[in-house]
Amino acid sequence: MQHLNLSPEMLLVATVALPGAAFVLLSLAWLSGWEPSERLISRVTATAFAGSSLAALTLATSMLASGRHAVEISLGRWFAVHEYEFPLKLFADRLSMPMILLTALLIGLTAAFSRRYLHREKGFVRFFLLLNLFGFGSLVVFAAGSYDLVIGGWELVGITSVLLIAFFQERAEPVRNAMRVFAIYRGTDIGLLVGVFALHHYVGSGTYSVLFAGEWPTQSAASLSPAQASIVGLLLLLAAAGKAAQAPFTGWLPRAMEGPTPSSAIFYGAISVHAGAYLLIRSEPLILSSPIVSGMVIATGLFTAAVGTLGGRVSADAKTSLAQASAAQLGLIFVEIGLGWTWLALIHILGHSVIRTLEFLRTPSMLHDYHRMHSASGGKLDPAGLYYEAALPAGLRSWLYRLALDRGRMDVILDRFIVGAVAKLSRAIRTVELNVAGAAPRAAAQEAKSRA
Amino acid sequence: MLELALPLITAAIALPLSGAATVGQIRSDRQRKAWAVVASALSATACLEALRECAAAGYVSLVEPWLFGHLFVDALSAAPLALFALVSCGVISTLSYQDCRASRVRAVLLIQAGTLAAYAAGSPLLFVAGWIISSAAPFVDRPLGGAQKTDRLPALALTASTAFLIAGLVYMSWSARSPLGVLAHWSSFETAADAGGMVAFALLMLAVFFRKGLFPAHSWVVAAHEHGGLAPAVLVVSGHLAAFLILRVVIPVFPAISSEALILITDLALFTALYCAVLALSERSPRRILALLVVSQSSFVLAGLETGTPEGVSGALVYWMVVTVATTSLAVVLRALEQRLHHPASDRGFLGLAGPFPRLATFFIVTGVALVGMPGMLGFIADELLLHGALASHPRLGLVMPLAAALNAFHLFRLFSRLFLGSPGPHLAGVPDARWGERLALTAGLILLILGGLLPAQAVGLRSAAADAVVNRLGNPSSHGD
Repeated sequence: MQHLNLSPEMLLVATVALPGAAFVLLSLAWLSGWEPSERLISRVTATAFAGSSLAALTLATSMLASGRHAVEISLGRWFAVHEYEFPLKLFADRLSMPMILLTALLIGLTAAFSRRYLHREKGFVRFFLLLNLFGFGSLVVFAAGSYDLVIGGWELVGITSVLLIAFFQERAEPVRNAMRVFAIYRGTDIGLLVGVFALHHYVGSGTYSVLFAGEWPTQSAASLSPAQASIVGLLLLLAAAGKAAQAPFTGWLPRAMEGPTPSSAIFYGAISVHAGAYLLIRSEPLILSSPIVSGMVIATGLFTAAVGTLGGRVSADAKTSLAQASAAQLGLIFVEIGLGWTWLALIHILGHSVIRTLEFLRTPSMLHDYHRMHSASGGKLDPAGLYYEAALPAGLRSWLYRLALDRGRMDVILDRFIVGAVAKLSRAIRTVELNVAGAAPRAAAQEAKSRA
Repeated sequence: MLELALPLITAAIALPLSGAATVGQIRSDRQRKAWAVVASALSATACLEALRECAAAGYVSLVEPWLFGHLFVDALSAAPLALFALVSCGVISTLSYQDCRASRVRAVLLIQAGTLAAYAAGSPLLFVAGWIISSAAPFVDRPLGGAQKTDRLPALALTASTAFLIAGLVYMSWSARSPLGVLAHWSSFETAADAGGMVAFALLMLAVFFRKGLFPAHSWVVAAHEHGGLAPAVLVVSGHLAAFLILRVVIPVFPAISSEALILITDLALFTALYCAVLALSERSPRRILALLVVSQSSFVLAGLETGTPEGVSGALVYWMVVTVATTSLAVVLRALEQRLHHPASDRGFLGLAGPFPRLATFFIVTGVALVGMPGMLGFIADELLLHGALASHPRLGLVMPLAAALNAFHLFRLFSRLFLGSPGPHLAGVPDARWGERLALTAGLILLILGGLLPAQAVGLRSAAADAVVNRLGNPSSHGD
């Protein structure tokens, strides 16, 4: 890359753009009615992520060598009306660079793994299309120079995640779970949208260079009052908690395991769930300027870590157990962010992503190996791990067991107090409408007919 | 005054009008459809040419050369004229032969002719004529076998809106003491500012209220989608004549009252958006869900117009384009499924139709996410502009809009899942996926939504002159003028 004399700015653009270009290329091929072979699809994807990784690696090396703390490039403005413009600004600093590199490398590796894992699967093309789009979306999130651009990548990550949960679309359960995850994503994304809206309202910009002074990790926030910082911080926490499966939204993570294993690995072991933590680290000056928000981040993380640990211990299948473990580790990462230990949080994200991806990808073969060893040993394999819970009183132990099975009752609380309340309101106004319009008997008859 | 090179607008209106008049004499469904497609396509071509001429002239007013200025295009009407003609043409070309009975084709052609006439009207009288013609669908194309109270709602609401429009304009002319002068040409309104005062304003707002389907009048839109033909129902709403009435009459004639009192209609529009989004949660019928989505999403157009900022008004005008294209495309896909299944698509259980109809599934989901603001598509641009335009004046829009949009996105995904996913799908031997006509029309819509999102400057530029004009009228000192 350096022989091509690409500037650091162009390397950053190449890193983000290559997966996007692969997505466009494969989409056009598919839409034109041509079905490319599995080999071609995987080669295009592999080339895109190899190029992206190489560009990111070269950029990181050149930044380290030159002692440069940040690279920023303005690609102009996406659109502008009067005084408002949407800046297309890419930005890589010591926080985003490791995330960009991790994303490009891990998605590339997962794509290589998926080629064999999904061989002759009906949705092979769909999987790789969505993987490329996801890669592009997450790179946009990490390389964005403004919250406005983060929204763009954030939504792409969300929609690809949901479509991959419903990958096995001929079964009802994955589709139901995808709908649930979609509802939680869209609901919590309101936090990001309104948070950015509030930032524009208070400060007049969503660009990092305007909002934060100095260089990460010693940045300070723009002149926001404590109340304003609390409002924005809490809204961003809502968005981060939704994406990172933190309390009270942890319930969607085990449901997301309905997707194919490679997508579980890259989305819920590595990149997608950590986007929430990244958002909080990026917004750290805002969070730390409000004790309320810091406290909420720590409390959310602690609760999720506790429930995730318990949930993982009672999970009946390996992927769900790993999902709970992911939520628990993310809880600890949230605690670190709330305490201001951002370097530790970043290292934790990197380590956790790599290990969890490996664990997820290994799960199917590990189970196979375990069964073989179990048979070879004549069914005498000792259970691994210690049973710490035995030290607890029996009553508390059974209460914790029920709590763990119910995943901290978070789904129940969400269903009863939010989903249930809105659904009740909806049914009530529908009943009133039908009665006012005199259409209640007809609607009842239609529903009966439909049921029949 | 500059003139169009040819009588393009007359042709654009006369072609579908003559098509509607003669379509009953054609016996064969195939020939009837061919005739309607030709009339509609020629009309769309004329509108596109008018848009090109208007853009080349810098979006100034261009009048018809031979109708004494009674038909014209300007910054406000040029883009909607071309867009609506194209959308109507797309809808007609995707009608199946089942849907090509004379009354339905006539209704669709009348809506096209009437809406185009209202957009291009050079006088209030012509505007009213266009409004009436575009409202004729419930009378021309009655639901088959239905005589329920709800079936009459569209006819009642559209009649009420027409009555209030006529009453408002008559009251204005009576107050100006120059009835013929005011009703003969829009330019007379320049001298009749605030004619009729609050009473005329209120009457026109009632016309907007009924035509737009704001709460509680939204029921007629739902009834029209549920019991009538989907094509005429979605076209009547997609014309956005209520918003056009605000732009053409209310804001120019009542700038002072508008800047004070339009906030009421904005609040009602926001409430309607949220109300319909919540109501759709308990709905099972795909048609009702689609209708509520249409009402909810298109309510933001009104909310944006009133912000009075260049960003907000541009956002509303771009949103207009998005809602028109996206909801019409969704209706086309839904109707295509109904025809293939030979019964209205049910929301009970999963139908798994992505198996037999993968292209229709793709069109549905991509168009749907474009409607609810997927990044990279035109809906996202409109959302961004609307939100930032409302920053100063209407911070509550920043809360209500994401909330309603999130609920609407969920309804859309729910509808997609129920229709296309979740089961192996029925074995429909010989039943085609998207036909060529459908593919062409839906692809054109998608290209507009995607290219508009990737290169938004062109899409926003189409409406920037109109947005500036509206902002100037509302007295925003920061506007640049037209």
